Amino acid sequence: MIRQPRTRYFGMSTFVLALACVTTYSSVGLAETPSLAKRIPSDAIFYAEIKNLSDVIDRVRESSLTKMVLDSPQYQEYVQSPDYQKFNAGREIAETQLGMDIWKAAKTIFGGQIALGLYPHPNRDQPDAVLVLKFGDRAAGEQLKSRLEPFIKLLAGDQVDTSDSIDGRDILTIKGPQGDLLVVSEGDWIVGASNKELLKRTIDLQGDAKGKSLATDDAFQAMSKDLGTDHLVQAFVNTKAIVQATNNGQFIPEKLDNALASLLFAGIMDVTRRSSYAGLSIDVNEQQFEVATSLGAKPNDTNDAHKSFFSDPKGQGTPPIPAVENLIGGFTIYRDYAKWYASREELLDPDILPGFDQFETGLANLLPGQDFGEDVLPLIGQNITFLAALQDYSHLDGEPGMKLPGFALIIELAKPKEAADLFQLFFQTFASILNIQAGQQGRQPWVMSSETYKDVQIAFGRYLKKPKGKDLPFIFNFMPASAQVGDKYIITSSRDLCRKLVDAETSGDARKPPNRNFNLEFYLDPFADILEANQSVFHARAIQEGDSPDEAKSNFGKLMEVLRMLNAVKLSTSVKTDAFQIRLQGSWK
Amino acid sequence: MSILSKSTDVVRPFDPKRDGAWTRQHATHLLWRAGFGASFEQIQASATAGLERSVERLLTPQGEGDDFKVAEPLLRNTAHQTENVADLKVWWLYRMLNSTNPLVEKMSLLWHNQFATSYSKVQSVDHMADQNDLIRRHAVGSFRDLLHGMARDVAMLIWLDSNSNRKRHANENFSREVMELFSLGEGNYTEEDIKQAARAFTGWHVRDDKFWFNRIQHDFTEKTVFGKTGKFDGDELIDLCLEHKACPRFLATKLLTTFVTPRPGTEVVDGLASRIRTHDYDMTKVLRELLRSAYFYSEEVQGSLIKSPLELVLGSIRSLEGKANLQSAAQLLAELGQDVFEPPTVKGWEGGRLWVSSATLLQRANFAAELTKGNDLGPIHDPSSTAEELGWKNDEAAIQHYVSLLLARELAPASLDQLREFMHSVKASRGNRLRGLIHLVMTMPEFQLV
Repeated sequence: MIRQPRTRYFGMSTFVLALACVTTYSSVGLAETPSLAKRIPSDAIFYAEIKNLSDVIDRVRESSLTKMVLDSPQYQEYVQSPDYQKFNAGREIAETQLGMDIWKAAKTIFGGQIALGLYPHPNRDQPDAVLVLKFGDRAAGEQLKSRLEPFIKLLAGDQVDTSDSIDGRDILTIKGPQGDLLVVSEGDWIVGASNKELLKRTIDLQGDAKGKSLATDDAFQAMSKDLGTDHLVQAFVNTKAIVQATNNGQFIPEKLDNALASLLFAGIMDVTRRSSYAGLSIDVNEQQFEVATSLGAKPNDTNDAHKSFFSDPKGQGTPPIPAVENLIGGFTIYRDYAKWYASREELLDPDILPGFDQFETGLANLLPGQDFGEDVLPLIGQNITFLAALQDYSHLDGEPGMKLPGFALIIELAKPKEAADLFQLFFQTFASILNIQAGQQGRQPWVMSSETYKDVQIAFGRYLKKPKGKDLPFIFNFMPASAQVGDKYIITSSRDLCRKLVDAETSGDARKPPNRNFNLEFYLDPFADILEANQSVFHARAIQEGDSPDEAKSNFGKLMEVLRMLNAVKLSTSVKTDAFQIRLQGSWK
Repeated sequence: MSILSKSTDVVRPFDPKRDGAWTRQHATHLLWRAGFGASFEQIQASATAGLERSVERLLTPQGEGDDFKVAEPLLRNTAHQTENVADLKVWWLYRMLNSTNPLVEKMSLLWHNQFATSYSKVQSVDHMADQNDLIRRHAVGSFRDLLHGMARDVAMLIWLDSNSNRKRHANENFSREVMELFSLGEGNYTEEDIKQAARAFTGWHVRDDKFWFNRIQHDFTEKTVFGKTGKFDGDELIDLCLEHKACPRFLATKLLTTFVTPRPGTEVVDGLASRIRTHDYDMTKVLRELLRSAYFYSEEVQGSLIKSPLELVLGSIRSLEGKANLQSAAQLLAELGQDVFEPPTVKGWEGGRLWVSSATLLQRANFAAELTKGNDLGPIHDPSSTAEELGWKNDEAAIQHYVSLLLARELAPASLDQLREFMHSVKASRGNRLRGLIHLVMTMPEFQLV
């Protein structure tokens, strides 16, 4: 009996493909186009603008990734489906009516500039809206307008009214259940608004601008100064107005019920609550994209508890991630951990506070006689780094069947001398506990050993008998090691990685990264390498879930193909004097 | 009324002249009992091949399919690499579902239940897998070899604390279980037999993940077991158990309650025990006689057993040609009470009526709904495609197809009318109506029987 192929990886790979398609091979590459913020009335609570998408549309259409999607069996299967037939028939009708294919129509609409502004309405929750569309290709725009208008009238019937006018221009009123949309067009622009007063203010700003535009608003100007104005996509939110309208931003909780979430996000939430604006920009060029967000507030102008989240804007922020070979990814994070821990009652939901007491009691077994908040955390500095990199398996006579990367935690020490013994005690106790578990489960224990590497003492656990075999159980990925280099304490899952980190920390790092409060980097090539090295496990997982071996292999191959096209993803936050920025960057080959 | 008039009748060969023609119903019965369900095509093939060829096919090692040859070692190796028993469970479920040698897997399950060893104590995927290999090697072979092998199996030695069995402090765990649970059954030995036998196994230890005969800890002196005296070692002690008259009866009961009937009478047990003794514990020969017997296909036997969770879940998937999500299936099986590699006690699963309680009956019904919907457990073969492939011209053909595929007994006319009424009244697409029909068949009481 014939079976249809399953599409296990298709969801994930489709998402990656879609993301890549939107960005791949696109290039703005144009001279700066004035922002439509000058053509939108002032006092908007939300504003978004897209410009020059036509190149992106062309490149998406021509990209190899699009071809890959169109050639895929899943897409071919979709082409045969009734849904596609319906879509195709609809497309043909639309193209006939518009007198151009949908790609050209999309380029005409999106190739120029489109802006949307939202304004608070005094008597209802739903805001008023303004839409401005400026065509890049005026002739095509005229053609589209002339074809579209009768089409809309035909489709909408008595839902459309053309009896009204403004300043001698006809208004096309489209009636809808949520209210009317009033549309006026002239030359290379179309303006739509949800009421006549807003429509008039907007029309007045077209051409020779008259009246007060959004571009003159203080908050918008501050955002423009911070993020610039020439972006593929730009958005602005007047957070001050929203916070005031929502009872001082009570939708943003002051206390979190998860300690990790607090460490990661409580600072951003604090600065959002105090910000006058939130801005967003998206840029794409031939091999990378960047999404930047800016929150307009002075990060350090806050209470003591929240100051623990922000580095000094004039200082260095977090260090770069150590440059180790075959780095898969990692992050560095700035926090004043001792201050955060001491302020936990202000920052966290009371329900989770008893968990800290249990944690401290448990920790007493690992660090007897030490108080976590008073004795341990003050020894730790403000920067912690976690990373993963491909590792070698020199500690084995063979390799584990399931290959994990090496993992490392690098803790900056505020008091290196006092911290050294304490952390070493922690490492030894931790290894001993794991040894007891290993004994209970009939596994080999570790023998604690040490070596001097580049004048640095590395402590590590080695196996009594070097394990042999080419498909060893995954536990043999681990050979814990620790070392102290200056004010850095390094703990790793692999001696090989520990040595590499000693190399990196002792050789000096010439890189001068921008000030960052948090920095995450993820490299797709080594990530794809480690997935590929474990492909048999992924095949097995797919078979466990019902795929045939051929399906499992084919779907995994597609995932690899997509991953190999990508390069890196980076996410960082920066503390500025007057703003807090978040940047997401991605690059591909 | 039983077709047995004397004990030897239990293995009287099925005779078409006397017992009627070999039919699809017989083939279905054989493939469900000697395996974990069967697809329509497999049943059809067996019905065409006839009884003797069908039984020989089950007893003769068959080459596995191409997918199996790739997937099975991959799943096994993954379990080894991850050291996760959940992966090992999925590996065995894959074998049960996809192997072309279902009787080997069914017998392996029987022995796994008899030599019940749990990962919860052994804590080693590799040792559990090795034990499973040992069981499978002898599953339809010599029970004598299996019992000897099990006494040296590392998982078993860990499970029954054999490393603490030393000549000055004999540990009776293994000697007790070898008599009570592995070969003789309660009432066929004395406490003194157990104590003496424990000394024969002293020094049977594990070292470096292998069986190790620790000479220093072995008691080489004389022991008296079952009235016989000698300087017995472990192997000789096992031979004494195999010579014991209770051993074939013990095994006959196991085989009969697994394959034939929930409550076998004394004459049936004695009849099969005598054949086991005659064949010197060669399970191929014993199973050949049993599966070819008229008694095995008699009315009183068909549909007399309650499906175990494995038969229920895997049998349904196999019959409906599902692309099973075995991780979900393994979880469901644990909830239904049959978690392979983790039997509840040293006695394994008692089975029978205990498979069904108010809670598990509800779960069994939910399973039927889940499988026909094709969500968590993976999709079944599209019933509307089946309809086209088999050229069904009306609802009656679909009803007859699924009733004969999924039920061990013929349905009463009233129940058949219920199905017809359902097909008549439901307004939905053909595929959904057929899925509804399958669901309805799977919720009938007869579906719980095999």
